[in-house]
Amino acid sequence: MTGTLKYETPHSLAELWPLLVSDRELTGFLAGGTDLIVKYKRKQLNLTRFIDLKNIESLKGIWLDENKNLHIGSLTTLTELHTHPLIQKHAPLLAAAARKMASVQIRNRATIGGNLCNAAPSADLAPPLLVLDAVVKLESDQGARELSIKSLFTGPGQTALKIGEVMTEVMVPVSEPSDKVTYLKQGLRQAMDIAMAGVAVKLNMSGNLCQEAAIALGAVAPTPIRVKAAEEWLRGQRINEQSIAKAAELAKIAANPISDVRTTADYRSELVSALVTKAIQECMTQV
Amino acid sequence: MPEMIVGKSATKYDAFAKVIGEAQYIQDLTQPRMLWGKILRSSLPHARILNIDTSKAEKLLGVKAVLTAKDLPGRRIGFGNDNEVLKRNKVRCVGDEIAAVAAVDEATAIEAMSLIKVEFEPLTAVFDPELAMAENCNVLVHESRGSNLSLEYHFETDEAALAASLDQAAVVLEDRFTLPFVTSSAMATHGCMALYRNGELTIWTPTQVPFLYQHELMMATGIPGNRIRVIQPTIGGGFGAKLDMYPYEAACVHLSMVTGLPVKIVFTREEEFQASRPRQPMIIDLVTAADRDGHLLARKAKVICDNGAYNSWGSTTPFVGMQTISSLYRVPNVRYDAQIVYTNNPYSGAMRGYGNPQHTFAVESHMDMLAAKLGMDPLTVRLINANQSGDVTPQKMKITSCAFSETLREAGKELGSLPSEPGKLRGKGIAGLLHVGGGARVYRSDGCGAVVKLDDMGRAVLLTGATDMGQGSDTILTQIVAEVLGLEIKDVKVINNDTNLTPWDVGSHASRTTFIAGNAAKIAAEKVRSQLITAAAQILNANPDQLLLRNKRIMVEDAPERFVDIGKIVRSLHFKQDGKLLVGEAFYDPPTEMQDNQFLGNVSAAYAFGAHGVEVEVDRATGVVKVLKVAAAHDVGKAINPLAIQGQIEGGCAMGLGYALSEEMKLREGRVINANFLDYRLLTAVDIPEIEGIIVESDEQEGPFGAKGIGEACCIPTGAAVANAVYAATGVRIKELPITPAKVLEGLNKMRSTFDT
Repeated sequence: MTGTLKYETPHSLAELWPLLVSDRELTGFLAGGTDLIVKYKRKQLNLTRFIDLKNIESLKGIWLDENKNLHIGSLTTLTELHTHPLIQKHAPLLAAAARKMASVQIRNRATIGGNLCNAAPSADLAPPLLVLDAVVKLESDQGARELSIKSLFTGPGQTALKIGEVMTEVMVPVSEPSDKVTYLKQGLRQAMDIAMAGVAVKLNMSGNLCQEAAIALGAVAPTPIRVKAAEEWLRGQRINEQSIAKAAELAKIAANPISDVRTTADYRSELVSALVTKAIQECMTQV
Repeated sequence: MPEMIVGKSATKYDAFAKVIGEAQYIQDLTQPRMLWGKILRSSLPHARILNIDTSKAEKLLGVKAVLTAKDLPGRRIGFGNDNEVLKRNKVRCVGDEIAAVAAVDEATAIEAMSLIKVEFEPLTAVFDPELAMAENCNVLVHESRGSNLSLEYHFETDEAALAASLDQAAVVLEDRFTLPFVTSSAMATHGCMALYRNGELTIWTPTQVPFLYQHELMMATGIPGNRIRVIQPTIGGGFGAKLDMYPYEAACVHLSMVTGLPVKIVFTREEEFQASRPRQPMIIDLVTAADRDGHLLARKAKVICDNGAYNSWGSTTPFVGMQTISSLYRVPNVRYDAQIVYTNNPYSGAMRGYGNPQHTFAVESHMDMLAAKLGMDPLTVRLINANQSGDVTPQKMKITSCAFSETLREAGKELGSLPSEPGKLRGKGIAGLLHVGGGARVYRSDGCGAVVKLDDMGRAVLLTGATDMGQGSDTILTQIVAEVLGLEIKDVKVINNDTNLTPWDVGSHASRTTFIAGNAAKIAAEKVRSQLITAAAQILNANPDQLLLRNKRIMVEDAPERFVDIGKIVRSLHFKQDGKLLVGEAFYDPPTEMQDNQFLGNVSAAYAFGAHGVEVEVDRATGVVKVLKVAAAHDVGKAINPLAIQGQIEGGCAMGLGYALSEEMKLREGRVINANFLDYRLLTAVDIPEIEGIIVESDEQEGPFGAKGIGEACCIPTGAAVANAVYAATGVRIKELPITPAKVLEGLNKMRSTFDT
């Protein structure tokens, strides 16, 4: 509690960059604050300055471009994610995942950018964005770059953001109505919980044959991950009990969970297999 | 004569104030020039204190006092005097109080704490009560005691008969049941505000037991008890954790004595987890023996309680657990042994049920296992053993009103009708309970005082010693007084939060308030009533026997047009020469007895019975247990306020379901590692299933209007009922709470591999 905390409120990216000339390592970017403030109060962060991004209008908004990419401003709240008509229509998986997070009050504050930059292995938005092949836009005074969401997470709480970079946008290719998508999350209770494991699945089917499969896991590895082995296995397969069981087994092998205060590594492994099975089955019930 | 108010649902006395945020909790209270106190707590579970340097903290601007053990009179505190207000030579658990700081604001107090330097010599610690009791354990939590055994409880019926019954038994079950640390998670954390001035102490504190507290604070501080005034703000939940007088409270008093200013200390949520009193973890080795028809022959329990570093009132919970072992169902031969063992964990205390949820989990799991072993229906095996009116149990508890069988039949009746979905397994389970329901004589007095005064405007004020910590006793007491005096509920006010005003009461514990304080209020009101009737008989020129109190009037029963307003009678008594006040007083102490040193005696004037039925759906792939419904049937004697009972039942079941499924205070080296509501999983509104409260009335002759206690009863059998339902659904028997998905899945996988081979 000793020492002072500086608080800055830039109103545009142009106002932001000069603030980042110094003390960048000791700066926390404040969006919803639902992770940052909690960690700061618990003295898990050594920061001397908060830069509040909430007044930067260009970080807000949801729009569709001509290439069928959904652009989601990094300050978009979880409530907006699950209620916005464009998200509900073009990225229903993301809307559904947002709805499963935290509580109403927290969803009203927490943002997509914050959830991703906090980079918890259990971040609920990560597995859906991974299977949707989302791209994030990172900006600094040096300019902008785009990064596949797969390359964003580098470790627990670690991202590929460089010091001085902020996430400004998340771009999601529009889901086609024929895409079969599911996100399953298992906590110890049905609300206000962090996943013991989370599984997102996206399937494209041609009849009973799987054309494309994407499977992502949360909370069972140092970062949210895609499961290439299971995806490749499913590609070209008929979806039936045996092929699902094999995919689930491959996902279980790919997972590398830990034991923590929430549950054991063994149970997380079992959960991966169970949830991948359920998620594929649930996809197959979608018409 | 039918009752007008008693028996009908009434809105909670304090509901409006709480809903609009007007109720004043300790967190809301302030005083001119009030200082903020903070406690520096040990970060180590076991260590010698070599040196404490407070010099930097004392110099910080805004700091008014820094106290350590050397500044205090060194009085021992706690049950068995094994504790100190501030620790002098040694800390025995994480969270132990080392220093107390008072400063002009909270931030300064926190900063001052960070400036205190404590030099420790870490000591080897022991966290497992079985290891603490082992021969080769070289860690002593309290060296002077020579062992880590704090207390022992032993009860047994005839030894030879017990041995013979075990020999004759067709079935003997022997299992270990393990119960975790859980905490009551009261929404309002602990806190107090002390003001010592002119030799008088006023302390505002959310204690459940103001008069015992007054005494304990006297012992802790040396301030004469007749100079201590205890005022209770609105209490945001007690559940037993507010039975103890805490070290921080005595420290707060000393801070006020030193500074001459009011000082307030309020716990953070982390402190609430680490330094308030959780429910005891227990290891229960239970033996149950029965004949081939399912009649119980014997029960033996060996119980190890993790006491933590010091005693609290909670160290006496085997007193209640023993009753469950000896007296829940008819069982002729009993042996009970409990050991309360010191460890370097946080010290456990009382929490709703006072040892009973743990013991009932074991007993009621065994009842189901017995039924399975004998191929009997779980309900049948319970019904043939159920306690009945007129029974005297092996501990000489006299069962008066008893609708146990009816609650057992009701609880499971409507459950289990729907088939399972694919991949899911459904099952229902039941579990019964016995708890004190007519007070509990654990002190020389189990009494409560009440004074009812009736004002000239026809308003009654009840002064009672009974504490309402949220459970709703104020509502019940106003109903009782209104009923007796023919008033409306809103004409009755309760004053119960100031030891300067209120008559003595032993406290809100043991589910005793409706029964004991209700009887006291009723008798006091009846004394006022008889004075009113005497006066009214003169005014109305009628026979007192013919008079009726209704709607704020006294009327002649057969001629209701002959009436007089109650207010008018009071005025007629006040406004004349040699007038009189209309005041009635009573001290009700139930017709019970202290148990002797053999633990024999009828401790309660009535016993509460009940049963919970639970239906669950278990996911075969994940092991996740979803509770679909709870049907909770309770023998309440008489429902004075059915709505309040439903509230108690819903709250109790929510607590019981959390105990069953999700709650566990996890410790690493004595430190709570999930000291927040994200990782300590209280169930949320969406997790709570439909809870059907089934009220069964048995008309207890000694109870006020026939009522018995319900407060603790409704959280006691839920854990066992869930475990039994999970077994019914899956065949997996979980003997260790909480029933996590990981444990269920492990059990399912074991069964699958057994089938495979």
